[in-house]
Amino acid sequence: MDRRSFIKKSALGAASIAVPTILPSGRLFAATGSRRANHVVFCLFSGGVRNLESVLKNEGNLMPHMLKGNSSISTDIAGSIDAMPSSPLSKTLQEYGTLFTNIKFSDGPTGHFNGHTSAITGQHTNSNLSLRTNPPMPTVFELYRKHNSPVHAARNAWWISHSNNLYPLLNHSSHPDYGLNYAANQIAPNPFFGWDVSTNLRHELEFTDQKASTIKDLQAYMDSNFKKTYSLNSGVINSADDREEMVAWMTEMQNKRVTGQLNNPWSIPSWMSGDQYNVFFAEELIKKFQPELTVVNLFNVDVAHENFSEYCNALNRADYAVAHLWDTIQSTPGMKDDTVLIVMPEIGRNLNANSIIDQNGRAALDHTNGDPMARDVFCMVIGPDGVVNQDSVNTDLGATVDVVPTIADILGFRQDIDVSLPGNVLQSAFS
Amino acid sequence: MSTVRFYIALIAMVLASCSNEVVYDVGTLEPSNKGNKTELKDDLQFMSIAYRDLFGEEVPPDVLSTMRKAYISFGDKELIIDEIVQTMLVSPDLDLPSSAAIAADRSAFISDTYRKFLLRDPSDFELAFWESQLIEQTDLTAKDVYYVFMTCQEYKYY
Repeated sequence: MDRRSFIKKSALGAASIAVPTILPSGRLFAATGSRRANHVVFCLFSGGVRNLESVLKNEGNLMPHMLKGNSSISTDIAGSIDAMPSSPLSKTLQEYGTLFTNIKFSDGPTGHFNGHTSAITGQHTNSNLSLRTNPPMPTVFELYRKHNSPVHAARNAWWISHSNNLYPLLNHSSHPDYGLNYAANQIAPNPFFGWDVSTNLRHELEFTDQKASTIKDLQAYMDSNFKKTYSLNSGVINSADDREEMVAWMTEMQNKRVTGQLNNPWSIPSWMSGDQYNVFFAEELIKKFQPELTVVNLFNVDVAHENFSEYCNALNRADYAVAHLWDTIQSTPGMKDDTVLIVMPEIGRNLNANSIIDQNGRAALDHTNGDPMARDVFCMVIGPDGVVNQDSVNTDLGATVDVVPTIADILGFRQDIDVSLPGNVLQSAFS
Repeated sequence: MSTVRFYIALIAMVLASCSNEVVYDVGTLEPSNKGNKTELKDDLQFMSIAYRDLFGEEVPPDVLSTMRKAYISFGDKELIIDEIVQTMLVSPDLDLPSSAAIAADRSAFISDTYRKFLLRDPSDFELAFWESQLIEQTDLTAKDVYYVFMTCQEYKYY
């Protein structure tokens, strides 16, 4: 028996205690509503994106893989935009679904964490939102896990964050009726599969069957002599089988990193950005686990605080990454034709520039509470024909808090949620 | 009146100067026979203490940084802690007692292991239990025993 099998065996007892057979809600299996699709991928196109540079194309079409149109990029910044490979898709992403151009981040400070929290909980936030603890209201992961089947549920919900800065907190809330038992698996792949972690955290002890059994008995003996006084915060709870698969996947990725197989896997002519790598790892995870609910965020566009041209470049790179993501979803058995992809920035950016001028003479952009443009974003809902309205543009007023009820509607648990959600389902996206 | 105020102020200054500086140094703790640990180690404490217990020195900042990066980058903390413990135990820099040394004085090895990881002496029963295990399970190595101690519940507390 190798160590993987040992972990699996030794975790069986704990998992059988930690994962309730019948959840606190009393529900055992699926939600009461019918599903539009069995998978949702929510791409927080985040870092702060203005509609001016995205759907309004003021600088030309900086997002040619996602948005229709061939308008040329402004000549003064064109030299700062890196070439991307040709699209893996036969048409723009917009044509695979419905583009909402009038979405508001209507309430709360226009900061990244507030924006993320609002998008992931479906709740408005305020300046009292703690940056040190999990949010008070349940996340979409907890709503999904609590109001759906518990079987293998944790492996079906993933929060793939671009960085470790605050964002790991968003895989569950501190809400007493939800919380850790309904958390998503969380990973920040860029640091986790970085060189230092990959080269140092990949050694393993190997145990024979007999040795594994002995060690398991000895661990049980040791724990029988110690009475716990607190509950250990062990993070998200996975079943033994799922944990074994996760370790195998981690090891595969780390081995690829160490052997150089992750050097520009998309063959981008220049280099792969952090956003693109984050989506790459999200794709690898999707191929491995086919989660029912995946949330992945991007962040490089926040360079706009100091460099407008690089912001446009990051937008162009993120555009390619999202198209690549959709292509991977459509190439993944179990996800193909059964996935809805939602793309939305968490906040916008200011109309008025700050005083930092870039190499092309363009002024940088912040995102502050008093500027209405920092509250304007777009949202794209992409999905199979017959489920999602194809090649449609909707200008009705919507809100970033609409995404959580929309996800709940797609996955069939909207009517089971017993906390109040201020948003509405983006009904016009659906056939 | 002014004398009374002077003494009150003096006492307040002494109390204030005592309460402002808190020094955490678990390395100075003496082994206890009671095992009544009640405080859960936080992630940084766990990794720092585990490294010091195994290698007998403070964890280098770059090693701690790597361990912490792995810890906070993945949501299943139990899984990552297990990985970190295993990583330390397979380090070529780790100096472990040989099987011959353990066989030569099992009682001393067990007592040392309790003190090293749990900061206490084993009870007579615990000592007898482990000695019998080492006699019966002839392939048990120091690495195996250390793994058991470092993944037990008591080791998560101080």
